Amino acid sequence: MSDSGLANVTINGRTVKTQPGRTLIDVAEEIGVYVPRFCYHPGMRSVAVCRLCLVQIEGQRKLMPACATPVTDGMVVNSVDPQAVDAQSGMLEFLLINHPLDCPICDRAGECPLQDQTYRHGPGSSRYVEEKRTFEKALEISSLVVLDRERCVLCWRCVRFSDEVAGDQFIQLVDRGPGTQILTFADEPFDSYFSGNTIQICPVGALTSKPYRFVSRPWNLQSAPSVCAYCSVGCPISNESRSDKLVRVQALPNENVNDFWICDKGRFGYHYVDSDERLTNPLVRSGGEFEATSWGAAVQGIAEKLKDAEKVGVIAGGHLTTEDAWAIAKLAKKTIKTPHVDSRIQDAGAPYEKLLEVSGVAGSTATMNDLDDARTILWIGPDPKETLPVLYLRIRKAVLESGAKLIVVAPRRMSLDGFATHVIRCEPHGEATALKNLSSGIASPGAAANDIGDPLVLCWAPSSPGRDEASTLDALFELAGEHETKFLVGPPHAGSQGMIDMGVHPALDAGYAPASEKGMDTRAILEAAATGELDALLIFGADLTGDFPDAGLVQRALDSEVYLVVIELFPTDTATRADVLLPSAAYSERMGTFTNLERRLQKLEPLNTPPGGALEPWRVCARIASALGDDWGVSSFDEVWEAMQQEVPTHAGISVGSLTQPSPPTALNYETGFGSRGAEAQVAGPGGGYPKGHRSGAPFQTGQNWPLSWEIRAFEAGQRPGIVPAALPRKETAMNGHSPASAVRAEDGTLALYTQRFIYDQGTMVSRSKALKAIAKKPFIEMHPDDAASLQLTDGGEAIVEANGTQVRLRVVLADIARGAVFIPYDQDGLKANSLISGTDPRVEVKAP
Amino acid sequence: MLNDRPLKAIIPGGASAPLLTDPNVAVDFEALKDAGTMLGSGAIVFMDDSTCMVRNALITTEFFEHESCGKCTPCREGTWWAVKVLERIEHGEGRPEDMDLLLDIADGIDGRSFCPLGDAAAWALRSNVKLFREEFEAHVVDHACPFGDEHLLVAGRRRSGTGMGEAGVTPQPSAGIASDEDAEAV
Repeated sequence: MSDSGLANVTINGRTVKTQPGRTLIDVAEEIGVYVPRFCYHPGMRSVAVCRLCLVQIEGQRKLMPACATPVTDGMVVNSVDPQAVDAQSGMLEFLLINHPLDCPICDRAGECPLQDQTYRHGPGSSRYVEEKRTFEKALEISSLVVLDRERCVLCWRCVRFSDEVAGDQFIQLVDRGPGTQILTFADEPFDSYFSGNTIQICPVGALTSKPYRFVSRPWNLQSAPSVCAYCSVGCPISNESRSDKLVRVQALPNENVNDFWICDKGRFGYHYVDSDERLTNPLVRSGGEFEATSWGAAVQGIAEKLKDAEKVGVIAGGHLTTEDAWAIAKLAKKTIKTPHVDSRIQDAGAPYEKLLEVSGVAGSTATMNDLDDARTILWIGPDPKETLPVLYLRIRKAVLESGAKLIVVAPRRMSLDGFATHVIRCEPHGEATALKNLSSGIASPGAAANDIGDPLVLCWAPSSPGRDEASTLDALFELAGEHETKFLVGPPHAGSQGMIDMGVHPALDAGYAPASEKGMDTRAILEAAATGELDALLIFGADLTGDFPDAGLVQRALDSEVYLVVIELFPTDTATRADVLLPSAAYSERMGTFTNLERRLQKLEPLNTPPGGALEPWRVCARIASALGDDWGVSSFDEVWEAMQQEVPTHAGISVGSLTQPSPPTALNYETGFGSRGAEAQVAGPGGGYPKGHRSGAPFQTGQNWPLSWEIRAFEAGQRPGIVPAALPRKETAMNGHSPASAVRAEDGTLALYTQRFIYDQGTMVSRSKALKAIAKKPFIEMHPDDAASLQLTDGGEAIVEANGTQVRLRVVLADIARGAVFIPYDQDGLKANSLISGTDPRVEVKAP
Repeated sequence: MLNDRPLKAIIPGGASAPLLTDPNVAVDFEALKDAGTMLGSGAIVFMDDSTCMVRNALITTEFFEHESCGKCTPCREGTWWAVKVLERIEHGEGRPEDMDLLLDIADGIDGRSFCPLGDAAAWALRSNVKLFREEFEAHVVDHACPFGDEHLLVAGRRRSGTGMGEAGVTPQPSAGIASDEDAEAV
């Protein structure tokens, strides 16, 4: 062993130093020696079943599978030894004997590891003249995934993913021997929220995407790296389009964020971008109808109204970029000079700013990697599997692979309970009390308090729209004070944290500075509009109707005489009430960054052209500002960043260039893309190089059609790290005190209403994504069996639920939920739960029909 | 041997043990190893000259195909392929290149599988083809099994179609299960 503890490993004549114990196949790939493989995947444990990666290792009697061989000092490897080459070719021949001749009709052709590896490492023709084994083809095992067992090479990747990573074993190996097949259970479709990942990791066309079936060939695709616009995990993705239409989304890896995975919402929820309903041109209300107009006229009209407006409110949604957030805050606070700005809608009133009492940031001090190093993870928030799915995978990994202890404090059962070390079922509004009981003191054996060790990661996400969580945070701070703690904060949406960072907040300016003038929050803004005290209201990228936890207040606000300007993708309910309606560009049509829940900035590259005259919201703000006489001098993404770096202290040192990936080259011609194309296709050393099209050793270039769907290496994720701005030292800030939550049980016979979003719901984007619409759940009400019994309600029966003047019938589901509480999903087809909510202590009356 | 028929071949230690033609070997681990085979499981089978070695190869390989767990590529696909080729040869549809093909298949499995079952199948297959090559060639040249058609009723029942039963349904068990009457006379 060398002095530094590194091992010297010689591969095909080249010696490298690396940590002993690393997987040989990885080390080889890093120096440009590509060992063919099927079953190996860096995101899962090695099983060495395909036997394709056999290499010759000096001193070993037989060929060894590189994917299951840890490197040791002095190891001498030859992947191009004639025996090894013969073995690799032989394995491919064996796999091809039963493989159907489907290439012309298989979606995988053109980006197929079987094709590519056969071309490079396999036999040139087939010796098999017998009949192949057959199965019924193209089984729809879910509405999103199609299975063709004939094509399956039994690499087990899909089964291992479902078992190891997602934890929902919907897909399994069935039977044995040459009849082995992959199948789902007879009465259970592949209903995993992560099923689409199996499509991406399947090295052949056995698992394919139903929405993408027969849509395109990979060489017709253009692609651009981007970030998912849905939740605040911010998984990096590749948008792929054909003829300027988004036709596919795939996961890009980032070992710091999502490993290799994305959820099915991010993967299949793209159809909304090309929907016919997209707003295309500025519209101005004239005599009750919308009339198309030019940007100049629209912006001029807005500026004139704003000049005369005394009280102006600005509300921004959570799916806008960091640059949009910066521009919205600047327009509101610096140009219009109104302090009444907020981006918290579904999480209205969530006290992110309170975090400044214990740290220098109104957001996370932990990254998701800290979950892997934590001894204890505490979760307070909604069910992450629905709202932050890949964070759920990260927590699951931290618990099952790194041995972190998970404590869940919640009034209802959630997916984390399955592997939590302790589940504390608290009473409604009882999170703070439950946390206080966890704090220091002698704990009885087996109690959760015994398992709170350092490092401790406290995860907090606003758990239920309409609830006040200040006391929960106070209790978390107390717990944090006794331990070596970091906070992982989960705002709901992709752009939520960016909004906070940029000061789209009534109490905070950009960079977490206390607002120079405190303004009204969303609720107060809407109340002011409803009572006629607000002169103008600008709403950026938000449909308040289903989103704000008080539907009645929203309607009163929108029905009022307030001058309403809406910047939107679609003619939503909010949008159709506007006086001026401006079309927004979608996430795949523009450059930008999202700030995820770790406060990590990741870049979006544009791919398609926005429809009509749709613009980025930051550009709209700049134009309005200009019309108001305040010329910001920004007309490009780079200029916006220059301004941001000057104006926002937390972002001053960020090199946005390091977030940028070079623009993709034109797609390689399929025929000439293989082999000798000069330096670009050069293999880095002797021995097999990367298969066709991939540039060994060169930084990963997106925009090339094929390598995105497979064999993407973790180290290539180094091209996509994202930047987490350093937390500033804590400043003393005076924050408003919050009164503690109201009493736990009400004597009026009402039950506390808990709610949260489900992954597929009536959200503006997801409800227009046709692949997901059909699998969204219908609304229901969850109750404790004892509460149900006392109300004469049965499991599966109907209940009449009433609150706030709204009455609705819902199917009853008996569940593990605190007594005195009920749960209703937030926004499903058939019920927007915000119609049952007003104020900060949502309660409902429930009775039998 | 029984009925004074001459001894043709011995399986000295279980189905995977390479064949012996000369019985003058001590039944112990070292001696059999030196003879290029093994004592293995200790299950000894004697075959007289009425035994078709292609049939022997076929039912032995069918056994391994049936036992194959299916986890690793070489054993799962290799035994499947070898059975198909052996069936053709035994039923008179062999081709001259099939013997080398069988040896290649054996080489493709041997030493490359996840567990020694693959090696076992390879050794058995290779041994049969190497030691009795002319018998395989006779099957090919004559387009028939030299030991007669009655043979075919019990040996390696020819599977129709893909051998997977009806498409989409789990496959039927391998046919290579001989009845008591077919037990090799010792």
